[in-house]
Amino acid sequence: MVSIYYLIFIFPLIAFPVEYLIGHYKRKYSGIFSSIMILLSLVLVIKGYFYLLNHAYIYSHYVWFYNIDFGIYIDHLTIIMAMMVSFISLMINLFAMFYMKNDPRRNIYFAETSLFITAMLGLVISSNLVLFFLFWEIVGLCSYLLIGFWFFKPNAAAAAKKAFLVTRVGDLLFIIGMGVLYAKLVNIVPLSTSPLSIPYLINNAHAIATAIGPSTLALATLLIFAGAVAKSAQFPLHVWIPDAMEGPTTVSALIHAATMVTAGVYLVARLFPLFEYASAYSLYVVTFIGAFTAVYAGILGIVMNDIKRVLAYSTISQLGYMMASIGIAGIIGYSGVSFAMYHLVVHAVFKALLFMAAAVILLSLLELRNIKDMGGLFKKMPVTAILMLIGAITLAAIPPTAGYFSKGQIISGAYEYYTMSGDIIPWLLLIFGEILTATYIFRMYFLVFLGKPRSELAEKAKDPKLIYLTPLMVLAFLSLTLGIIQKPFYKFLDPSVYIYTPPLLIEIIPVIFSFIGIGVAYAIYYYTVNNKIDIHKNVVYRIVKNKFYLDTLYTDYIADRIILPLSYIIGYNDRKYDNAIDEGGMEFSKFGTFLRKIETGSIAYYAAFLIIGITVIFLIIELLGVIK
Amino acid sequence: MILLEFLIAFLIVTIISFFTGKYAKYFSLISVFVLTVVFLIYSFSVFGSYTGGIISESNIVLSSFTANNISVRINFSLGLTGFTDALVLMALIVTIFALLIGEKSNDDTFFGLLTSVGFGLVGLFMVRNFLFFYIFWEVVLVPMFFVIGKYGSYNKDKISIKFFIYTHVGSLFLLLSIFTLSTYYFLKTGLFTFQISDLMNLAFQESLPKFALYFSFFGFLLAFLIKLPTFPLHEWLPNAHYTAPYSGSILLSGGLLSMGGYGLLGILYPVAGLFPLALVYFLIALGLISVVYFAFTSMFQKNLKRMIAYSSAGEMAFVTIAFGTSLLSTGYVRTFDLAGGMYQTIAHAFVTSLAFSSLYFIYKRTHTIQVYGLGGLYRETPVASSFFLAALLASLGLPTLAGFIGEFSVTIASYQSLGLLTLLIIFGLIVTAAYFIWAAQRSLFGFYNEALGKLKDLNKAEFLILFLMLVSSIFIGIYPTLIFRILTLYASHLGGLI
Repeated sequence: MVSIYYLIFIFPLIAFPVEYLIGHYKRKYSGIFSSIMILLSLVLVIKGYFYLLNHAYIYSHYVWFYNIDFGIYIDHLTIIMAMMVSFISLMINLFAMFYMKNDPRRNIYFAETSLFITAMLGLVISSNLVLFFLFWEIVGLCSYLLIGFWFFKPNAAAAAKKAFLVTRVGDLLFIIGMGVLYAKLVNIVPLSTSPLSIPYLINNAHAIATAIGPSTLALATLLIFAGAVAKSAQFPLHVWIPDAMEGPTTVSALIHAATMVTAGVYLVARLFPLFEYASAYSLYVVTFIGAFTAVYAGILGIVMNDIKRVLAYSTISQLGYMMASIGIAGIIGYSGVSFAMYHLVVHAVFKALLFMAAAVILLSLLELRNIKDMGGLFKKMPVTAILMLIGAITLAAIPPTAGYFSKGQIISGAYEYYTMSGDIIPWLLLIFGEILTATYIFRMYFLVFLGKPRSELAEKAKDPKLIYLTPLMVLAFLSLTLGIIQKPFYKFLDPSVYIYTPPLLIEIIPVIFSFIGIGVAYAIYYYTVNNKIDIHKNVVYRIVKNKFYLDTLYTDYIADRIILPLSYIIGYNDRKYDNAIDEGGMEFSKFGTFLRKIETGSIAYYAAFLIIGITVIFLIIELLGVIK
Repeated sequence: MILLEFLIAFLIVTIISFFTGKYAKYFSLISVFVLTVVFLIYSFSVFGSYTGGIISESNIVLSSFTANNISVRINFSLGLTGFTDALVLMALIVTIFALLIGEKSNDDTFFGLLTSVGFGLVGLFMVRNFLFFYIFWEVVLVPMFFVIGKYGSYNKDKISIKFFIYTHVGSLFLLLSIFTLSTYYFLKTGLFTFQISDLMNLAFQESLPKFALYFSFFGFLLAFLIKLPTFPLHEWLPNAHYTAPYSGSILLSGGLLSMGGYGLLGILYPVAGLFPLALVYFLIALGLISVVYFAFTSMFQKNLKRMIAYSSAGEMAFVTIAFGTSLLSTGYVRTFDLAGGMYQTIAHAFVTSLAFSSLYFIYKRTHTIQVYGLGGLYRETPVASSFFLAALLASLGLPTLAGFIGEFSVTIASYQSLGLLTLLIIFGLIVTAAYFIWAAQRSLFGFYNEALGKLKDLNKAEFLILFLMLVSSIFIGIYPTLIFRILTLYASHLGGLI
């Protein structure tokens, strides 16, 4: 059955070549066509939403190759994700028309982002893990191309390489995860069903777990989770994302809000039934990595001086919240996934807002990214400042912003997890992360906007025309108001959702912590600006500033001291082996030259050889006879 | 009979193209293109209803007599399986690619030699008789030797001889194996024949003495593994690539390497059930080592052409792995594994064609392919660099490009028999990704190497050539089922044999 919903990813796909060609000939029209195409996708997604209000799913598939399907599967989870992706991408794309106005290669930018959005939408609605993986890899490819968009900067080229390779590690583990599922399921799937078909996997998770054993399933899910860890920048594969800030800021907005890092969370949410029926440690790993990342990245966010890097660590941290929420769903039930998805949507809105506000600032400051050189921008660009403030309070989960509802619910969920399982660590980590979140974002905010300008560029900063900020205003409005749809959202995803209400004190703690965080941020800001304390010699500061030496471990040790020398040793010996073969050949031909000397033409020699030869032959025969 | 006529037509084309003077390029291109279209139509009409096994045998009895219960029969027989059909098509397309690149555009001998290689490949994949199999095996080798020896660059005399001797050693053992089998067949039945279907027969080979059986396995494996090439039999490859002209490299990689794949999966597989388990594990180990080894050696190379040469050997290692693991696995997985290995054999040709061609156009402009001699090329030649980047990505197995489907199928399917040893493949693939992306970073991005001066981007004709290659690569990557279907049917037929 051909489904109209294939067009959801085909529309932006059309924009990929068309944008390139339009922009090639008429540069100023770049971005219009792709925006229209994304809008069409959005319309189609909304149509799908209304269809799904009284249907369970949309499923259409064909054979792709062998027993692997090609098709789409859209259910409530999918439509939410697709709506978020297309809407946020549309906002960013509209803003990018302004942001990339003066770039000579903007046609390539819009072509590549169209492909990026295509891949993300395709990933969201695909019905088979292999097709999912195909789009997943194109997402990786596009991020590679876009991070390295300003290819002439060596930093950008290096960052693009890092992003590609780190995510590739996860992707390849993901392949093995699929291999485990395939090998175990291929003989038990019903006829004409693909063993890697997503609807089959999630609707028969329990049967699968009993058939192949929960521990095997746990192995498969953990390998798949490794893919999600790399894509969603969770510890320990998060290292690519802070470097990925070398691309245009709108690309960062796309990667962080709509099109890339959410893919990992979505993957785990999508395959949640498999995780649920696997051995318990599978989801425990998810919880723990998520909660740990939330804190880890929060700590790093506090010491960063690059405005985009602060936001990058904030993304990692928030994704940690989502992962943790999915992880605890193993105990508290499917509602954990709903909490995560709600936070994902809210996060996409305010993170896109924050990045675009940062883009406005950077455009005005000519890509000067160090927040210590900014300051005083509140007076210079008040509209941007207010927009960013809205993003910041949403991120810090101050009521009544949407962030309060989405993150608060996750923390309450973690508390419920504690009451049900007796394990308090996730809750403690997440609640501590709350202070960190408020601290890093407001430290950045204060340093950027308060006080006096600390550089000449900051002196000259000013707001752009308000019309260009429209997408930001829409997102700011949503950041403030999305809280209203919290309960309907949960209901839509899971009609039987159970929303736990913790004791009042527990419910208030996050808010208090957020305010504490803002206070800490102000203190840091105060001491930084007034140069009261020199912390550069502090050991703890140095360790954190060096990102706990994890990046150093990867690049300086694993890459430079293991892989490269290994390649040198193997490559060098390969060359020696080659030479040895050549020399062997030389020896062989020398032997031929030597043998030629026997051919003297003297009959006496020949006769002697003849006699010797015959003697030897007879001797051998005789010896063989003796042995017998 | 159509196959015979096809082959004769190709032979005539090949001979004529040696004498077409300055029209050689156009003549050979157009005629091979016409042949390809004919073959495409033929495949669609015949393989639409393919069910597995061998079809369209044409047997021409060349010599046959019987006396005193002894008979001799030598047939020139042609036939196609799902695998060889795809291989013939691949050989034709790769020949077109090589002719399109054809650097020595005024030399009809050059184009004649390239066409001869194509002719040899097509014949090799079509014949069902070992005598002619061997003849075509050499028909490919000899013109390739001249392409390298006459038109090569640095140190061509030595390297072409090394190439010839190295691969010829394999060929000789192949011949010995063939004669061993046919002699024993003669002793058993009194019939002297070289038919592949008779000699590569499980029931017959089971009755062989162990020594003869293992000797024949050894000969076949040596010949095929050298061609593939597998570690440690690969040394002819990087040097040959290094010296060969680019169109020669395309044929080397796209054509000669797939001969090894065809030998393993198409010729040897029906009797591979008789392999001792230790040998199967040995082959798998060779495959796994090759993946990792070639990844590391590629990383070591400073010369982009050598790097691609090594990596193409690494890609072919998946064929060895598929061969070994499918012997251990069962059911659907075995079919998936085998079909994946076959698909890799075919897709690999498209990937390397794209890689060598785009590299050639870069070389034409910069006159260097040393990584450190390039740098920031994207600034001057964005289109050519994009194609080269696409080729690198295809070589590292990015989905939607040709390399993915085969590598993916083999990796997934090998889990059943290898378990977590598949992590080794993954490790190799990570290193592969690392050096390709690293090479892209150093040669295409970053600061422009101003010493290269002002460069012109691709002209229309060059663009069209690369575009054609890229499109065919993408086609293979996202619409595999056209080929995969017949491969699967043949693979399940093979899987049923053992």
